[in-house]
Amino acid sequence: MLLKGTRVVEWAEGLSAPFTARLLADLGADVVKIERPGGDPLRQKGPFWPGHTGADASALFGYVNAGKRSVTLDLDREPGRLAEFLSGAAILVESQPAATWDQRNLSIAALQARYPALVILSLTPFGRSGPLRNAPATDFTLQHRAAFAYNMARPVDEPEARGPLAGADHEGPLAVGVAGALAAVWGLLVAAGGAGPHIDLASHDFYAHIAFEGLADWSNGERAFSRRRVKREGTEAAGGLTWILPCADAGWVMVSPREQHQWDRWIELLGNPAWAADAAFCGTRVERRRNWFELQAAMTEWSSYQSAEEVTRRAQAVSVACFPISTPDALLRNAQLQHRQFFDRLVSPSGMEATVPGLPIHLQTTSHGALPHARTLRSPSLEPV
Amino acid sequence: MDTIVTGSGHQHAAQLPLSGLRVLDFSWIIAGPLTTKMLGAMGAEIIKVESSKRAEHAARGGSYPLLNNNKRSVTIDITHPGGQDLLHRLVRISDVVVENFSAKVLTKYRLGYPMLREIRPDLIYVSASGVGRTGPQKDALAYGTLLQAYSGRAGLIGAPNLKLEAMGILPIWTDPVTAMWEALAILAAVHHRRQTGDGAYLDLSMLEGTVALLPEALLRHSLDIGGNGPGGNDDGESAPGGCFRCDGPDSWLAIAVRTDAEWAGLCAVMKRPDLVAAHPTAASRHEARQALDALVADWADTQNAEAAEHWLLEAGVPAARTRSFAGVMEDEQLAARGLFPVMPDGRRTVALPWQDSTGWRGRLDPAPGLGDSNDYVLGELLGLGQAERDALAAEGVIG
Repeated sequence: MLLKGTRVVEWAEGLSAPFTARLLADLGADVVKIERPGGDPLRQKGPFWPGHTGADASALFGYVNAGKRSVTLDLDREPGRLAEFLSGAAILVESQPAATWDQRNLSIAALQARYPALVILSLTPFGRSGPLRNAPATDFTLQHRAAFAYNMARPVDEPEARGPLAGADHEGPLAVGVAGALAAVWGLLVAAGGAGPHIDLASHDFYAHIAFEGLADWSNGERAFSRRRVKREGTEAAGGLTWILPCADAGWVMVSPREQHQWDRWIELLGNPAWAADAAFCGTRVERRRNWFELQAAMTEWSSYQSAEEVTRRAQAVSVACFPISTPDALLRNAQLQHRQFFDRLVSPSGMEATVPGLPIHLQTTSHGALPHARTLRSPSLEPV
Repeated sequence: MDTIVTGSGHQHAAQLPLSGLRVLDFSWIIAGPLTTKMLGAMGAEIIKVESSKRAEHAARGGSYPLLNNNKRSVTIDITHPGGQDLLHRLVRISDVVVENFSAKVLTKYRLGYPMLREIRPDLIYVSASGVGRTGPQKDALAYGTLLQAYSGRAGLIGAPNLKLEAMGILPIWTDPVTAMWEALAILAAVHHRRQTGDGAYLDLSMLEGTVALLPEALLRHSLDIGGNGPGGNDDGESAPGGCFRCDGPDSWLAIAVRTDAEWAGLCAVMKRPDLVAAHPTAASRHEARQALDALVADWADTQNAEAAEHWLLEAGVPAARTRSFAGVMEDEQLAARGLFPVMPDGRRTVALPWQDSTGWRGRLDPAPGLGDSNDYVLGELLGLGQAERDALAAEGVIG
C-alpha cells in the first residue's frame, strides 16, 4: 500500500512507539519489532485472552503489535546487533531511555553516521532535550502536568470534590502514537533528499500541544484559570448550547441545536411545547445559554420516554446534531461502524477471536489500491533467544 | 543546504519536504485547519478558501490565529457558479484538496471528488466528516463534542450526569486527534504519489479516529471479561496511584507507582520506610491498592503540591502537579523545547508536536487576513487581470 517497500525497525516498548510502528505497518511498511529476552513488558499486561498464559497471552499487546514480525535480541550481550539489523531499514522507531543507549555504548549519532538516510524517531515521555529529559513520567502523570486532566473536569460546581481526570482507555498514549507515525512519514519525505532526520517526539509536548484552546485564552490575557463553573455559564462547549438528555432504558443523548434554524426544527420535533414560545426563556441564543439547565429539564420531558437511538434518529431526520453516549457494547453493534467495516478481528494464538478497532480512513488510489478493512489480525509470538 | 527565512526563523529546505505542494483548503473550525497548518509547517502552500459573506470566516478570534498559521486566504463564493469555475481552475494547479463540508454541499457546489478528479487526475482529495462518507448515518450532522460522546469515551471517563461534569466533553479531543490522523494519511498519500504518480481519495471518519484509540474497552466487552479498563482516575497499572488532593485551593498531585523502585521512592518521600517491606511486590500492592491509595491521600492532604512533585521526581517516582494552562506556560520543560514560539506580532502560537535534533519545529508564519492573498491567487496563479477581477467582485463571485 502507501508505504510499500519501506522497512521499519522498532526498538520500543509500551504503547505509544509500538503503536506508531503498527500504524506504519497498517500503511504497508514491513515492520520488525526488536524485543528483549522475555519480551516487551506489555506482554505481561492485560487484558489477557481468557485461558491463555505466557508471553503471547496479552490481547492488548496483540492489538498494539498486530502485523509486525518480532525478533528477540539480547542487546545487553550483543549491542552491535542493533546496527546490523538496521541495514536496509528506512525508519527506526525507538523509545528507550537515554541510559539504555549509554549503558550499551550505543548512540544515535553513530547510527546516523553509519546510515545517513535512516529516519530515527525517538518517542519518549519528556523528549531528548530540556531539564526534565530523564525525569520519570507516565502518560497519566503527563496528562496532569500538561493541563489535559485539568481541562477534563472543567467547569464543575465543586472543584474540591471533583478532581481532575485523565483520558479514557489508552487514548492518550495511542494518540501520541498517531502523531509519531505522522512525524515518521515526514521524516521519510525528508530522507528522500538524502539525509534522514532524528525526530524527537515527547508525549508531554503532545498533550500540551492539544491544549491550544488554553493558549487562545492565555493570548487574550486570561491568567487566572479556574475549574469552578461560573453560574449560568452552561457547559462552555459550543457556548453552552449543547444539552445532555436522559432517555428511556437508562440511555443518554447529547444534542446541539446551536443555530436558529436548527433550534426551530428541534422545537417543532418536540411538538412546539408551551415553554418554547416564551421569548424570555429561550427566544435567542442568549436566553438559551442563560437558561441552559432549565431548558434541559424541559427537553427531558420529551426525551425520557424514548430510547437514545430513537431520539437520535428523529433529531438527525430534521438535521439537528444529536448522538447517543455510546457504551462499549453499543459500539460493537453500531450499524454505521459495521457498514463501514470498521472493526478488525484479532486472533489469539489458540484461535480465539476478539473485535478490535480498525483504521478510521477509507482510501482508494487512482490505480485501485485501497487500505484494508475488516481484517484478520495476528500479533507476533515471542521467539526464544 | 539552502536556508529559508520565515516569520519563525531559519530552516533548511530539507526540513520542508512539502515545498512545491499546493493545498486547496476548504476546511474550517478545528480538525481541518490544524491539519493544513501542519502541512504548511512542512513547506506546503496552503490556499484557504474563505468568504467575506460568512460571519464565521470574517471573525478571526478564539483559536483561529493558532490554527491557521502558514496559509494564504482567498475569498471566493463557493455557492456562485462563477466561483466554482474559479475553484476548478485552481484545482487544476493544486495537488491536494482538504474539505469537511456536509455531503449535500459537496454535490450542490460541484466540489465532490468525482468531478475534481476529472480536472486533476492525480489529486489527493481528503474528506473528513463526523462519521464518514458512507453508511446509514453518512448525512448526520456532527460536532466534535458530540462525537466525544458517541465514541463512547465520555462514558469511560465519568458517569453521564445532567451537568456534563467530568466526562471529558471538554476539552476538545476528537478534533485534534482527527488532525493527526488526517495529516498522517495525507503525508502517506503524498509519499505514495511521489513513488507512483497515483492520486488518492481519503474518507476519514472522526468517530472512527476516536474509537480507534479505545481498544481495551472493546476487547473486554468483545471477550466478555468484565470491566471497562482504564479511564479517568484509574490508569490501570499503578498501585498506589491516582490524583490526590494537596494543601491549597484546587491543588492536586498525580502519582503513578508501578515498580518496586518507584514504591521505595514514594515511601522515602512520605517518610514511611516501614511500608517498603510490608508491600514488597507489585502484586501485593495491587491487592492492597485501596488501603495504599488511602494512605497516600492522607499524606498528600497536607503537602504542598509543587514541593511534593519536586521530591517525588528526585526520588524517581512519576508524579505531576495538576496544572492549568497558566501552569503549562510556566513549565520550564516546555519552554526549553520551544513548543509555544512567539510570532513576529508578539503573540504565541503552537509549533509542530515534535522537533528535530536541531530544535526545528516547523515553519510558522502568522495567520492570514481575510482575502489577503486574492492578488496572488487570482492574479498570479489564475492570471486574471484587474478588470476581470473587478467584474467578478461586482458580481459577488470573489470577495
